[in-house]
Amino acid sequence: MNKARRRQLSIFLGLAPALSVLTVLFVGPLALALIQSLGYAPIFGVREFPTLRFYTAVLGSTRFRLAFWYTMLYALVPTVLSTIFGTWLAVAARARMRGVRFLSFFVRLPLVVPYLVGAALVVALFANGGLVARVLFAVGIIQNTGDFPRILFSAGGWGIMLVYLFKQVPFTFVVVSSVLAGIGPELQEAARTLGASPWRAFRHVVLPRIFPGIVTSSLLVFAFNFQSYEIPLLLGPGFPGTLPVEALRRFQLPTIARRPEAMAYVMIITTLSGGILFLYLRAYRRWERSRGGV
Amino acid sequence: MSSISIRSLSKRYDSTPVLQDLDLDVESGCFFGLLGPSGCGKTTLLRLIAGLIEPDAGDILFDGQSVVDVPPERRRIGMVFQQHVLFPHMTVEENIAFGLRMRGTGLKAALPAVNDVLELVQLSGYNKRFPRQLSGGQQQRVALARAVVIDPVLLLLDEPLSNLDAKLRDDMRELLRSVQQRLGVTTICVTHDQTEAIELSDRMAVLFSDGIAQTGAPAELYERPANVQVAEFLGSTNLIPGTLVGTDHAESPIGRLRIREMAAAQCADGDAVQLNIRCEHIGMHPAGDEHQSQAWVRLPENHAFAEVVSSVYRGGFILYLVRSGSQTLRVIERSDRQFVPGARVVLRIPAEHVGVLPGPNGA
Ligand SMILES: Nc1ncnc2c1ncn2[C@@H]1O[C@H](COP(=O)(O)OP(=O)(O)O)[C@@H](O)[C@H]1O
Ligand SMILES: [Mg+2]
Repeated sequence: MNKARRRQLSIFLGLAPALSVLTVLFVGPLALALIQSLGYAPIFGVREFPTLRFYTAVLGSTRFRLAFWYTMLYALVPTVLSTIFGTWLAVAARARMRGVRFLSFFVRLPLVVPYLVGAALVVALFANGGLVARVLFAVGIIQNTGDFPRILFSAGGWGIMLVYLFKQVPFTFVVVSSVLAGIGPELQEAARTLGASPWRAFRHVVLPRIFPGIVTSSLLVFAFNFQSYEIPLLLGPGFPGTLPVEALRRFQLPTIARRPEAMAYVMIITTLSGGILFLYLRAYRRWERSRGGV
Repeated sequence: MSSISIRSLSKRYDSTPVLQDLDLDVESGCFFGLLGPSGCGKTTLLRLIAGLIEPDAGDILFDGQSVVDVPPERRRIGMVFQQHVLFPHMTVEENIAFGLRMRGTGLKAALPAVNDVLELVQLSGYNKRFPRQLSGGQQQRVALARAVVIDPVLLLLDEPLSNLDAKLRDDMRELLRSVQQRLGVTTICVTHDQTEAIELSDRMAVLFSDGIAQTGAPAELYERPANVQVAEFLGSTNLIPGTLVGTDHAESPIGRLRIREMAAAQCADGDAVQLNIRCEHIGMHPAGDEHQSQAWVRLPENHAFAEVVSSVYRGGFILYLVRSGSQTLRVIERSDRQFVPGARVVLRIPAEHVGVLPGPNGA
């Protein structure tokens, strides 16, 4: 064996534990889901492999199309908003001002709170009998707590998006803060002496430097929002659910023979979110290369 | 370009005062060197002048106009920072054009000016490089170009040579000087390196943590330091305790020395003082045979016997440590004549180079 081969092998062996975990946890289940969605699911009494029946059933339904657009909405809006607010707070927290340390502690706080607790909080605050409704009632803005606009359990998805924001603004804040810490205030100051207002110094000098961090965090946030089911299940409307919620519901179908549709959903969700992330990253890389590839 | 006046400027970080009641005047078109040890507040002062931080008290005036309420982007200052802070995601051209673009010029329209300053800093043709593709010295020159292209009223340089190696440092020093003279821009250059300050400046000041110790032309500060601190900071020197005798002599461990004429009423007869004698101003000659055998031979005024203790070769020069009576002195001599340790020598100390500084300990 020559030297290069031996090095390759040792790198491979070094990665083996991680790779095997990845295989067991990721590739294995995905392969299983693929096979079942294509019609090999003896536990459901389905032995039609290979068939696209389950895919056509899913893709042809209005339910799916609605679920897709709502999933995009609930994923995208919190991603955009938390990226903007998280970045904004991270930049603000760099100012040498009193209260900044408290601010950055306070902003991080939701990170240690589980999503489910976030959901409970939103319910306690914004449900029709919730705190906000009661306060509005007490000060006389609404005549009846029942008049409070229906924020939760509606197709608008306000509740879902609020919980996501509650968790994801802090997440973006932490990621962008750590990137900012690496670049120091000097570049901004150089830009200021060269005639840039604070906003333009940020826009032209700081933003391009922290952009990779922003892309990464927004990617993670979007992927999570697109795929997670518990918050939409808890706070979303009965119909339509998001894609993951619909997938879950297919698992619970009384007609057992239709359950491979759930696996078709799983495969479609994986492909869609993978595809969206890929397109997003490719667009970013193109932009980056056009900027000289820093 | 502008004249700069700083009036009773004070700045503290948290509770530590950095600058207290600082006054400074820089004439229009002057290359002003501000020399001080690390941590004395040089960078802080530049940042105050640039408007990047706000003073706690005092005023900063450009041509008699207070600028403390003017934000940095409207002070029209060119600043070269201590660490290279070129924008890493921009080409050389974009870096230099930045200041012009912030003033409303498009990149295309800015190009002629960009090319002019690139030529000025001898980097013509480097337009499309990114900072990471440049050496430290080249980055420094781009930073200089970026600072001067906006035609600043004031150029601030924060230790512009400290990150460069010896050869580059010499080149950059010449470049800085020639650029400044070509543009005639008022310049404040801070450094902890006395050679740098002395060689670059028209006028300079020495800043310690308790404030500005002395202001003047470099030669003035070097030859006639105001106190012991300044004397020691501006190159190696000998400080010898002495007592004034009349107004033109002092008694010292190496005998009675005639001293340089003092500024009026600086010290009086009988005062304890420090005599300041620069190492290179002491002449050293071999003690002749007559001195070896006839110890009673009288030496002329401002001459003293000494014995060489050690020597350090310094490329063209030798630094000797010699002992005369109870006093150890440092002497710098050309290396074409060498003395071995133990050699007996005669020191000649010209009266015009014996400075008098107040205080027994220079306090
Ligand atoms: N942002 C800051 N916060 C607190 N202390 C600072 C800050 N910047 C500088 N200092 C302190 O102020 C003093 C002067 O710093 P500086 O102006 O950078 O000195 P110099 O440039 O002469 O080396 C130092 O003791 C330094 O530790
Ligand atoms: Mg400094």
